[in-house]
Amino acid sequence: MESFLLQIVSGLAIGGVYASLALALVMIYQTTDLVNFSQGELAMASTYLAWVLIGNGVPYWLSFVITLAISFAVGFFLERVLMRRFQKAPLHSVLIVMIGLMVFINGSIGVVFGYELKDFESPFRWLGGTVRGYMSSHEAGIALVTLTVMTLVFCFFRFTRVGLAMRAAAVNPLSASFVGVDVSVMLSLGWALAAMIGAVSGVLSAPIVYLDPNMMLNIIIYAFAGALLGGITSALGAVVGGLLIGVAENLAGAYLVGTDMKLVFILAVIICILLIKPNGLFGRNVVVRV
Amino acid sequence: METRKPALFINDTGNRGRAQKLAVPLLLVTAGFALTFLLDGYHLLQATNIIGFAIAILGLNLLAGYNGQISVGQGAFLAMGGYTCAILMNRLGLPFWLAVPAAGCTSMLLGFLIAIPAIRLELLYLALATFSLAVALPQFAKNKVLAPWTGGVEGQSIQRPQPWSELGLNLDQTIYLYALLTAVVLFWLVHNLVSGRLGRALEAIKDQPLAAETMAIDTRAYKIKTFCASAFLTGVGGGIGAVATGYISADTYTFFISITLLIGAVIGGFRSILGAVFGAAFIVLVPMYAEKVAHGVAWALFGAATIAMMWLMPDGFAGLCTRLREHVQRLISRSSL
Repeated sequence: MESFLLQIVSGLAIGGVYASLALALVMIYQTTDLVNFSQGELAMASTYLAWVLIGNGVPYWLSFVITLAISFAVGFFLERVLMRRFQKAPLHSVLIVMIGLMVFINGSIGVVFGYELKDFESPFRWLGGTVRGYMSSHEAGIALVTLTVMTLVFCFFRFTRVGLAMRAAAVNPLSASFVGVDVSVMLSLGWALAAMIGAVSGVLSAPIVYLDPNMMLNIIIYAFAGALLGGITSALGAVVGGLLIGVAENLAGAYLVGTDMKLVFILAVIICILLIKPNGLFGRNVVVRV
Repeated sequence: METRKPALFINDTGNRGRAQKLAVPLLLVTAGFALTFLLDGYHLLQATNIIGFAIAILGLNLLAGYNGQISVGQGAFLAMGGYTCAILMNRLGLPFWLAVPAAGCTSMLLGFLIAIPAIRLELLYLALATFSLAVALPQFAKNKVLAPWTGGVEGQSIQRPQPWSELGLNLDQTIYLYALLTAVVLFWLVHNLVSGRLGRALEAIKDQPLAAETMAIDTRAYKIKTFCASAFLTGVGGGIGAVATGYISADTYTFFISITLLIGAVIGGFRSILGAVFGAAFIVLVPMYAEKVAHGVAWALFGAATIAMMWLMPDGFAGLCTRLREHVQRLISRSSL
């Protein structure tokens, strides 16, 4: 029983990482109808940035903030400069561009930093070894940070004018532009926020999976699964889905399939969601007018 | 979508148009045969790899270019082909020229099984599912239950086949020539397939699914058939690759191989048959030279090339050729006036 609880708690903690990446995926889905396949690699690049900053003696939390700010800017300009060109292109072209971007980031980081695993220090050592024997201090830290980020994101969309404008631009771009919302800036802001939230997931997962150019490859699959489970149209769903996937992954690894078949398990989960309930737990029915 | 000229104009050019159309493939095939005797062992192996990838990419083209279904996990079929070849040749002692088509068939079976859920999925969901498949694939291959067949983590070497010494060929030449012949047959078949009734039906499904359905085109059946054909081709490609290399393991079929295939298809041009050859050459040759500079350079180049391609010429290399040819023809017809 004890170890069962342990699995659930640590699943919730790593689920926080998946939830933030899934949230980033959903944000871009809202405006583009596509899941950004390069989201994980963007997060990985942000993590390298944080690693370089910390390595050069910048205090951890300052590096964290700088990394988020730069990720925000990169996301913004990526949409402005690159994705903007494909706004009118067919969906599958945009999808391929995203995959191209993913490959490009992965390769470039590999060239610059090499492919060997790097240690990434956890900033939560001060919390002590374990919290009440259930979770490691880093897991507690992940839960803390993701909870904070989610709350901030929620408040941003719920209570600020910009957040409202972004929601309007996503739901109905044409009407939004009629009431004075600059839809094109909102699109870029969406990418910027997604890149920033993704960076959080990258920096938080690095102490667990170690830092290397392929670190997000598995995590993005879990985030896909989380976003799908929650319903790809729902931000709340992404968070709940990400947490659930974290728990499911941990339990399956411990009791069901073993740690060496976790990805196969997630693949099965994804296929089941797509076949049984493609709208997920919180998603709305997408109706296409003919 | 390119517009087709009405039949009237094609008839106007008569035999000359036909000869022109045949010129490039004939040239390629002749050059291909000549290479059998011109290249040394290592380069011949690379050439065989290119042919194997070309066939695999042809499968992807059929699926994505003609039927609009993007598969990011095509490596699964490549792996199926490779492992089938390894098992048939090592366990049953089958000659390689029988094992390769058999590899296509088992791949096709897998394709059929995957197609049943897959055709219900829209573009994005299909991409997500196949992407996950590509990432999870090595875990299948390393799995302990399957290890006696797949060779598990260590992989397995494939018995070297008998060369066709009656024809005076050594082993590398034998495999290369076999791959070339297979490719010629398959490319010819696919060309005929897509330029006929089936091809028109597929494009109708891709561009106007509802209209296609109202014209009594069985969308479901066609999509499943395309999936199977695509899996067959990629399986054959995987078989050829495995036989040529003589060794396969879980690391042969990582996530990256699936993405590489997709990139090859993009570079060559999704909607082109000969584009597959160019795409295959690109994904085999670029890493050969780029990885000498630093690990990761090839990957960065692949990404940059993909983005540039979608930006500047979404029809790939083949599209560029078509545009150039049309340009030249326009110049010629203007000067002759």
